[in-house]
Amino acid sequence: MSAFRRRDFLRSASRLGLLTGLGGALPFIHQSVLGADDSDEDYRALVCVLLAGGADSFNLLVPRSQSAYSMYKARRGDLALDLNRLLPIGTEQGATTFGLHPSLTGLQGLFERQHGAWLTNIGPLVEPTSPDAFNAGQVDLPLGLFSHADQISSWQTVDPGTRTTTGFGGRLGDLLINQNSQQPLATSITLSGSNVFQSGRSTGSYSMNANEGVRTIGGFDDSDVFRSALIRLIADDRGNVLRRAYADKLDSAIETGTVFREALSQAQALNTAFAADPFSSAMAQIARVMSIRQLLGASRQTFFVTYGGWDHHEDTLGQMDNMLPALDQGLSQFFTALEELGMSHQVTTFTISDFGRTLTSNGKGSDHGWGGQAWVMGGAVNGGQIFGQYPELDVDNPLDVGRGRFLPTTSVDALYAEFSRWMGVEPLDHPSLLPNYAKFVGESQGIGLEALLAR
Amino acid sequence: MHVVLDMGFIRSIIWCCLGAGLIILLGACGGGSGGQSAEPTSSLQPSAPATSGSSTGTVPTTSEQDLSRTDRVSAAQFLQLATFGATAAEIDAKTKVSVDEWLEAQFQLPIARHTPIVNRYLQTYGYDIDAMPNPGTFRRFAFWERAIGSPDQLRQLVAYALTQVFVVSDRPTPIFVNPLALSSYYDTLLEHSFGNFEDLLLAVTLHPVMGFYLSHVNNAKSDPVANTFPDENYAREVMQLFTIGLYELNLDGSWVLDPAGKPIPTYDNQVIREFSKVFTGLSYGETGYSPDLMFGKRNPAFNVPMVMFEEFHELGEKRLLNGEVLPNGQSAMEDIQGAVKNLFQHANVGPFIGKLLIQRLITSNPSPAYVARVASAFNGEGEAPRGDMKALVRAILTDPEAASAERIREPFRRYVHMIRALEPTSEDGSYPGLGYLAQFLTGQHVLSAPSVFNFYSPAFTQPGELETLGWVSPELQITTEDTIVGITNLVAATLYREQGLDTPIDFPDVTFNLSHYFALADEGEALVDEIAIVFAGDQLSQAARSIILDAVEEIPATNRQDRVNLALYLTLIAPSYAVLGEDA
Repeated sequence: MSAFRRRDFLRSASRLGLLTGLGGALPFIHQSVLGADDSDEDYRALVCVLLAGGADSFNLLVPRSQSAYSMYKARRGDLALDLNRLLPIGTEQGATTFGLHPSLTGLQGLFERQHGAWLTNIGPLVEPTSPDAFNAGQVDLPLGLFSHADQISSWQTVDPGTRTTTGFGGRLGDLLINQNSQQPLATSITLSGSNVFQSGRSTGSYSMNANEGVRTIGGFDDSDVFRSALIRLIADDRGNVLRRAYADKLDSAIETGTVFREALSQAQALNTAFAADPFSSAMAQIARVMSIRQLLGASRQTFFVTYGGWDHHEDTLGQMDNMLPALDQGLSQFFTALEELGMSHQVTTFTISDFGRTLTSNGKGSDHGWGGQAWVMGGAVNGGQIFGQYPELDVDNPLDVGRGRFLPTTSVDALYAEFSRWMGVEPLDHPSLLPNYAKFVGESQGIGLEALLAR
Repeated sequence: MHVVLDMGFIRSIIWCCLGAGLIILLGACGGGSGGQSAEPTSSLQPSAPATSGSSTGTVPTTSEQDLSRTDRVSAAQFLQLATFGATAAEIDAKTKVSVDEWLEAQFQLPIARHTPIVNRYLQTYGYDIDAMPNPGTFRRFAFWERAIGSPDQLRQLVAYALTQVFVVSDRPTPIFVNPLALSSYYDTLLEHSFGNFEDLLLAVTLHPVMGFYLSHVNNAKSDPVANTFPDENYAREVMQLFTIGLYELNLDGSWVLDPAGKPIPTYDNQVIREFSKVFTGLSYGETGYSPDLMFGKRNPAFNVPMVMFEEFHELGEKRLLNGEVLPNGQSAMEDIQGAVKNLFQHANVGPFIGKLLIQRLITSNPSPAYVARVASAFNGEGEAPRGDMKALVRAILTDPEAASAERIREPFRRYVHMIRALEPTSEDGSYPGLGYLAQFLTGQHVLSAPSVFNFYSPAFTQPGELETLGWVSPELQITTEDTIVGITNLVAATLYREQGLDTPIDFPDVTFNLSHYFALADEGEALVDEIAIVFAGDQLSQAARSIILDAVEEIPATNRQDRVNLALYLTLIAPSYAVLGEDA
């Protein structure tokens, strides 16, 4: 982050016309890029949707065929969804067919149109890990296994053997930022505040408001005295480490905020209607920002949004019924908006969560688990498929390490390696991008997602 | 998951507030740039007979003019750690007593509970979940009234710090809509803030809001037929977050390392499962408030401790930490008390809780020696038993290192501090309108965190200068472009309005008493200096002072209100105010 902040603020403010009163249109953006045809455009973006709290994803993707459903029902007990409520999807693994949670009608449609895919029993691993090795304690395991604080980070850092401060999106941003020369901070945009996913070595995230986009500091545009004092404070009131960190954020709030606000003021209204819930609103903001990507000069971006409240130790069925419609709407409306913008194949959206949850019930809900199901969607996704092997839910399955907590059969490394390649970075050429990935190459937990995205 | 506030309405209010502010700012700036600096006033310079530095309580001062600037600065710096924010008059009063005397007086003050205030609002407005003001906001009104008006500032503040350790939140709707839920929870923290940690942990464990939030209310024993097991949620978090943390700690908070140099986990999943058996059988103690208005559903009392239902409690022995075993056959509540004691006696609690409270109250990166001194106080020294909260609080606040505190002020406390130091008054001493904008603009409000992991992680750092130094800055995690604009606008919205805070209902008008600063408005340097002392403990940087002075002097000296407002606005958004500490 600091590499882009150690500039003469007065100079950059002047460039933006703030001090000279030019205001108005951005001087360095050519109007001709508005509305450009994207057919040859080299633009790609990843949208990370964090379902914070650990979504019970064994109730998102559920076996429907008789014997597999019976096993599911037996293990889940009072947490089992009724068979006749499941939304059928047209794919199978062996003799097993599948259905989705009844709230996921939009995702069902995207799956059937082959724009969405499920990843099954995926989760963070440090190295290839067999059940025997796990039981014998012979492998390095993710820190704080089954706990929120670590597992929610593990999915973002994909370096779960350490408590690193950088995430996959941020490290990818470090490598891609040169492709976004006009506005480096457009590389990583968050609608949910700071997050480790987008924290890189030299790049961080730019934070927008999920409801209002970019907010303006009161008085900044209207008072020369106030504005110049604030700019001087940012430039000169930075006499210790924490003050510099604070001043950098204030700097970015004003400088980058001004650029974004100007660009967003030129955004065309979308015909796609978004629901009013906070998650859908955030997805609408992302679509707006993507629509002005050329004004921002961005060709590679990541976006991050959190939809929290999935730690359903209690009333799992009721709470998921309440919360999933917003997820389903926000994701499907976002895809519709991307189609409207003609860029659906340039954007890949995926869900992550702290962990899967226990198959077995605590009498009210489920507890913390490990492997789980993730959703990936986009025009580039080879959809209509389940990637990975849905686990046998049998209590004797050696992958069940207790109460229906499943040892993942696909490492998050494999997913992010596929994302890296799609974004134009060969992960093995940059060992620090996915520090454990080399250990998974050719191993069962590291393969199987090579055909997830069309390139 | 979302609080039941009318955000659209509040949004329109903020724009009204900011609109008014912009007009005033424009007015202030339209007046040309003729103001020139004058000789600084001497009224606040050291003029009283020099004392020996530290306040002894015997300095015979009779008026502000006689107080030494050094003593005022020292008092201001202490009070910005030990209160929600001090007024100029409170700073002056503090110069007349020692820190020990001040602490002792605070320890003796009666507890100013929040529940009576909530009950007053319930009598005034009744309970109507569709009405304005929403009853879910009554406990927030109570917080503001106490945080601003109550003399037991230290206790109120320590309880606030504990809300960020024993985190519960009004984000789940059942907690939000029950007006007595979080006032009762805050009162529980107040009652034990100067008591003993073991009692505090037991009271938190049995509080129904915690029971709901971490789902150990109605947690039943294993049922082999239904294939269900005890809920592990509280069992895990009470260890990870409330008592011992993930790894064995030395007294100074550093990790104990095994021969391979790796930290040693304090527990594994088997221990969690054993503790989960302990926390079975608890349910609500009573039927709750206004039964017919809780959506017609189960209606728990969130303000009465949970009670035990033995038939739902897991039988058998439970294997806890450090090889301790709860025997088969004892009563269920003996199990709970035994588990709380087992946790309380663990050697990690002193350094773990001590460091968390140092970070909340004082500084982000305490030295290991500071943590060790505080942990020793927790462990019991002299007359004080293990877990004595007064000893813990005293050790945290009186440590020599407290004087060099460095921490980003979190948005919510910045706002409380600003309001308090602006000397608000209202006709009846209540301030229900004050909190309305805070959460909307900054994402933060007392007891409204997004999860049990609070608003930020105590270990948060970021790549670059901070991480290279091995420093953390928890509050930096919620310092984003978006929230920084939010807190800045909250300052503007508070300062730039004619009178009263606009609120969705006709609450008592709040006015700020700025006469103390108006009296200095002619003398820009004196004005900036006094604001720097009162609001920033004199830690506003030299660079910031000179920038603010330049701006103030752009405004004609006759325009006192604009001068004071601009000096306050710039001070309260300057990095050297937003970040406690000194320039390196």
